[in-house]
Amino acid sequence: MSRKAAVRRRVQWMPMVFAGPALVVILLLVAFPIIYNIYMSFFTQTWSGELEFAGMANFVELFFDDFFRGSLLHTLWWAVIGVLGVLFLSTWASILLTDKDINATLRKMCTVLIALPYLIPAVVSAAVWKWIYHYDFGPLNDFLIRFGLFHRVAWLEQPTVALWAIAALWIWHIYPVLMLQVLAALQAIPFEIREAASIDGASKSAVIRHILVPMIKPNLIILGLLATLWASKSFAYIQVMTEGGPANSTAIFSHYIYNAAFIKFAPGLTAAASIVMFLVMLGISSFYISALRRSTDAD
Amino acid sequence: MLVVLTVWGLFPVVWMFLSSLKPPENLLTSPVIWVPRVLTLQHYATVLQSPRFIKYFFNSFTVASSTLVIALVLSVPAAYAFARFRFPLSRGAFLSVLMSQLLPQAVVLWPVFVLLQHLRLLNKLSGLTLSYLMLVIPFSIYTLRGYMAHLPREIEEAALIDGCSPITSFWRIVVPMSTPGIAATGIYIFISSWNEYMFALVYTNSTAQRTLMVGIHEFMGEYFTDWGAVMAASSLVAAPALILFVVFRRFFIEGIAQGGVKG
Repeated sequence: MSRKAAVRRRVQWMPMVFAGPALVVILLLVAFPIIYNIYMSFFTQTWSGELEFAGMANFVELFFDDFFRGSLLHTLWWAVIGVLGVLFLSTWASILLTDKDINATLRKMCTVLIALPYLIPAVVSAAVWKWIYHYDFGPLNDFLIRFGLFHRVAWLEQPTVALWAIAALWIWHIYPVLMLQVLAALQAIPFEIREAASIDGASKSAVIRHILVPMIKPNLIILGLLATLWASKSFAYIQVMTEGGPANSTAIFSHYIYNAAFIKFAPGLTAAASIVMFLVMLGISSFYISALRRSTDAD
Repeated sequence: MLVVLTVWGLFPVVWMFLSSLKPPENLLTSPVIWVPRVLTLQHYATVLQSPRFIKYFFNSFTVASSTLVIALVLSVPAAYAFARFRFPLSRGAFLSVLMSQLLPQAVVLWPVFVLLQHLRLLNKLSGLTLSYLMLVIPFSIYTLRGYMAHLPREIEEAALIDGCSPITSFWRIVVPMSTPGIAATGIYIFISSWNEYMFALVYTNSTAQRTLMVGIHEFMGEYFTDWGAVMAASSLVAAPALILFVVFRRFFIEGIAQGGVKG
C-alpha cells in the first residue's frame, strides 16, 4: 500500500483511540440515563420488587401530586428570578468595574474581592448564611434591630420568605463567576466606542443602555442559559438551609426526585419525574438558543 | 457602589473566620457580639481532633485527586482529537459533549445510582469518583478543545514534517503548549469534585466513605449545632481554595473567561 494511504489509515484510528475512553464515559452520562429514564418511567415496582408495566400511570400520578407541582413551580421561579438577579448583578458590577474613573489598583483589588465568594464551597456558604439568617442569633436580624430599621424576620422559617432568602444566597454565591465573564466581554469592547459616544454628548447611563448592553447581549444570553442550568443544581444550598423548607415550600425538582427515589422507593416515578425535568430544561434551553440566534441574526 | 458590592460579598466570609475564633460564650448571643474581645482556637482544636473530620478530609481529597488525574488523562487526548481531527462520529460525539452540559444532576441521579449498584460500586470512593468523572469530563473536553484549537498549527506540522509521529507530536508539543489550559481545567476539576454535595450524599452512606461536604452538613444537627465547630470546619475547608485563588488568580480568571463564552 502506498505510504500516503497507510498514513491516512493510521491517522484515522488515532483520534478515535484518543477520544474513545472519554466518550465512553460521556455515553454513560448522556445516553444511558436518558434511555433508562424513558424505559423505567413506564413501569412501577410492586411490593415484591418486580417491575410491572404501568403505561402512563406514573405521569398521571405526577400531575396530581401537589409536591410535584410545587417543586416544578419553585424550580421555574428560581430559574427566572435567580437568573435575572444574577444577570443584573453581574452586568452591573462589570460596568462599575470598567468605569474609567477608577484607579487601576482599586479595580484589580475589587475584582478579586468580588470574585471571592464563588471560591467558598456551596455547602459552606449555605452553612454561614444559615447562621446569618438565624432568627435569634443571626447578624442580619441583629443589624436590622440595632438600627431600629425593622423587626426580626424569620428568614428561613416562613414559606415564601425562605425561598427568597435562599435565592439571595445563591445569587450571592454565583454572580461572581458570571461577572468575570461579562467583564471579559466588556473589556473586549474597544474603548474608543465609549469615548466617541460620550463626546457626542451621550450621558453615562445612555451609553450603558444603548451601546454596551446591546453589544454584549449574545454573551448575556449564553450566561443566562448557564445560570439556568446551574439553578437546577441548587440542591445543595436548599438541602443545607432548609432541607426543602417549611412544608416543602423551598423544595425544587431535585428534592422531588430524591424523595421519590430514596424515600418512596418508587423507581418508575423517579424516572418519570427525571424525564419531565429534562424536558423542562430542554425547553428552557431551546428558548435561550433561539434568542441567541435571533440576536446574532439581527446584527 | 462598588464598595457596597464588595462588602456584601466579603461579609459572610469575614463572619465565618471571625466566628470560628470566638469563644463559645460569645457565639450565640442576643444581641450579637460582632467583634469578640478574646480570641480562641478551641473550635479548630475540636475539629482537627475529631477523627471523623480527618477521615472526611482524607476521603474528599482522595476522590478529588483521583478524579483530577483520571479526568485529565481522558480529556486531554479527547480534546486534542476534537480540535485537530475530523473522524467518524466526531460531530455526533461533540454534540453529546454539549448535551451533557444540559443535563441537570438530578436527572442522572437515579440512573447513575442504578449503574453504580450494578457495578457494586455504591458506598465506595471509587464509585463516587466514577460519577464525578461523568460530571467533569464533558466540560473539560469542551474547554480544552477550545484552547487547543487556538494553538498555532505550524509547530505541530513542522514536527510532523521532521518525522515525528502524531502521538509523539501530541505528547512532546501539544501537551506542553497547552499547560495553562490544562492547569486551569485541572483546578476546575479538583474544586468541582471537592465541593460536590448531591452525589456524595446519595452514593455513600457510611461514615467511612463520607466526604467533607456531607460531613459539614452532618455537623449541623437538627436540634443542636455547634456553630463554632461548624465555622472552624468551614474555614478550614474554604481556606485552600481561597489561598489557591489569591496565588493563581490569573489562571482562574483567564480559565473562566476562556472556557465560557468564546467557545
